[in-house]
Amino acid sequence: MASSQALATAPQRAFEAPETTTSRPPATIGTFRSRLPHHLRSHLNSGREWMQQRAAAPLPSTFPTATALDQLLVGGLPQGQLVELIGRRSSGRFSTILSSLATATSAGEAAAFIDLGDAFDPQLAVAAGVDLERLLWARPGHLKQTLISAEVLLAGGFPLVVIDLGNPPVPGGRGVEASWLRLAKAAQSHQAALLVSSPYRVSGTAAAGVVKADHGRALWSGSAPGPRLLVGLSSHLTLQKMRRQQGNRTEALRLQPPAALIYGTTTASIGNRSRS
Amino acid sequence: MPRIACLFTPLFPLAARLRSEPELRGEAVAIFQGNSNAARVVAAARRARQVGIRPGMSLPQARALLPNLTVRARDMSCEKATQETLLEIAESFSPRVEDAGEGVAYLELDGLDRHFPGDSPEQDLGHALTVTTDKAGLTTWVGIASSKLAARVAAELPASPNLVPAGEEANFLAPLPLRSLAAEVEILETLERWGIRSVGDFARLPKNEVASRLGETGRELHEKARGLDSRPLVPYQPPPHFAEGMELEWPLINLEPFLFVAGAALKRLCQRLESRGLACARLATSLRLEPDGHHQRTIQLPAPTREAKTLLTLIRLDLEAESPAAPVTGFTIVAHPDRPREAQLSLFGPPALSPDKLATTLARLFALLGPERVGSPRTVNGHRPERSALVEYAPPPPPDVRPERQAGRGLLAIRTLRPPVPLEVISHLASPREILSIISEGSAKRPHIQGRVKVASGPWAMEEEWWSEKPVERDYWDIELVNGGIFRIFYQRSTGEWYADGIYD
Repeated sequence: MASSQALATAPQRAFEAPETTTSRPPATIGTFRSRLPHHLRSHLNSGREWMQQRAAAPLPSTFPTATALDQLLVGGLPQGQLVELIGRRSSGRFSTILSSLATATSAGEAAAFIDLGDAFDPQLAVAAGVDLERLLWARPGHLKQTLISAEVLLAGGFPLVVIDLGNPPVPGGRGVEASWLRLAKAAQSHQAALLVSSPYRVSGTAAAGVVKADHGRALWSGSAPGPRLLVGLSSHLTLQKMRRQQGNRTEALRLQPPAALIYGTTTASIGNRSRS
Repeated sequence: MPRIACLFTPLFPLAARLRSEPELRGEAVAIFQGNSNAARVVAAARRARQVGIRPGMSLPQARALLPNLTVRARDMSCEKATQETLLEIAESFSPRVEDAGEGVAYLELDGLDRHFPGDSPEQDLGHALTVTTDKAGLTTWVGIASSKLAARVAAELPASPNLVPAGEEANFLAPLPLRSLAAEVEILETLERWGIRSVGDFARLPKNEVASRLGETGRELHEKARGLDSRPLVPYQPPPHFAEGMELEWPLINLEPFLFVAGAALKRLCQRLESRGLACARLATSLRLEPDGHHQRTIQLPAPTREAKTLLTLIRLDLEAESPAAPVTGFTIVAHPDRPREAQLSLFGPPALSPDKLATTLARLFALLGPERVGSPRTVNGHRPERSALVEYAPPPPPDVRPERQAGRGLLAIRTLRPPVPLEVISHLASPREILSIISEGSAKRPHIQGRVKVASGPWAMEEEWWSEKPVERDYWDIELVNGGIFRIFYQRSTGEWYADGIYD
């Protein structure tokens, strides 16, 4: 028993400072740095220093989307970063990405839309203000193809790349996190804004920002048993995570169906008419 | 007399092979022509020549001298591509070029001295020609003179470039043997009978006497011997496409080794296209199969590109989709050229996509997803929500000034379900009360829709193509489910079936 105790304490003693040097101050990062050659010293940083450097770096320029995302992400989609927009069906997620595409293309920018669910409707996109001539529409059949397409498009110089994974089941599941990290790296190196719309979190730590679209509430005109008319959808976008920004902020999202936009009827006018 | 430069590639069959297989440089290589016992060496590399291997030797003789000799068959497709490359280089210096075959090209130098304003413009031009051919993987010697013959003889001398001063051609050619004139054997025999041994001896004969005795051919030969060249260069007509090819040493069965050699050929092809400011709009691959078959494939590119990696990916995907039926013994890749897209950059507007990058991006996406799944969307006349069209993506140039960003319209978009999801619907008084997506083969990959209907709005009738045999007649409903989700569903009157074709999102 005594011998086993001795064995157990032996390695511990080996790492303890000898009694004669107990007065020496503990080794700090400065001590280690001073022992390095000059050209290597700047490469050794403590965690605190690294955080300070990161906080001091300028904020990335943003890509406005003219949606509630602009308020949540302070100006719009950050260029060179991946932002993930998650939400269940009928949460306003698809409307938000369509609005982002409309803002970019109507300002003369080229944009790419990778539509895994093949859900894009050109007629509706025109109503939303998308300039179809400036929009590249890619329809992959699998998540792996989606990720490769996005990387190709980022390398091709597109300033805005939007990925929509559709509704569950997503072909290919969540994918490998390394692929998302690689994609985020590609967005960073080409200084492109990358927006990923997904029914659930997929990109893990690769996402610089995560915005959740809450479950939407349908707005109907009229009351049962009379005729009803869908006049809008009300939802909220919540910022769950954003590098160097405070999370848990919420913005309201209020959307109107295409018929209301096309025929000039608004939620208020329909509501008034139904009441009368 | 115009000044003429001659580009001469020594040991041309060997140089062409080394251009295709640069890893053989520095090796003891011999190029042979013919089969089995009739195979003869036509060119040998320095290390092979050092042990005594000479053109004309049979293959067993050469192997007896050097057992580990690397031998390659003479490859006419390699030589053709090399000759075209040589002529393209010549054309990049002068518009007047003549193809003299087998690694020889002539170019007229009139007016080029303005591009080389140094003390010795011809020397600088000769160096520039040598450097350019070196970059293309060819060792070429240059000779400059006022006649083709003098230029050719000067090019064959070591220490390139060799210049023959204007008016000195006759003196330069004088010591050469008569056979250097490359004349007809009959005339040479006549001259030898007259006791004439060198070009100089022949040049000293009276012009009119030679013409009266040897005719027109003799007169032309006499002019050549005096360093005169009355005939202009025969203009070279470049082919409408660029080709690179190779005969393989042994038949290839797997794709990867083929792609390795094809990649090198594509790289050379793209270099040639780039030197002419062109890009590849269509790529034709011709594979020669064992024993005598052919496999032809043509790939139409979405936009002209000259990125070898992209072209190789396209060939890979094409051959994976349709593999050749027999081992491959040789190949030719032909690039049909076109002008690459150009874009005018704007100082104040949004940045435009680089045309080169866009062409490459589109080609890669085509290869990855197929041409029917990449493009620019377009609206289609009609009423069916699932309608869409796709055209080639060619964005207009961005505006000169960045426009103001417009405020969002707040549109509630509909996520289209293509194809529509078949539903089982329990209805009451023709209004849906409960819905459930029908489980069938493949439905596991489609959205599952199930629940009691909270609010239903409809029906909205839609009719299209009533004049056709299969008109579209649908009654649309907007429904909200108790468990969440707002859907657009329809009742198809012709079949009595229900479908969901959109989700408000």
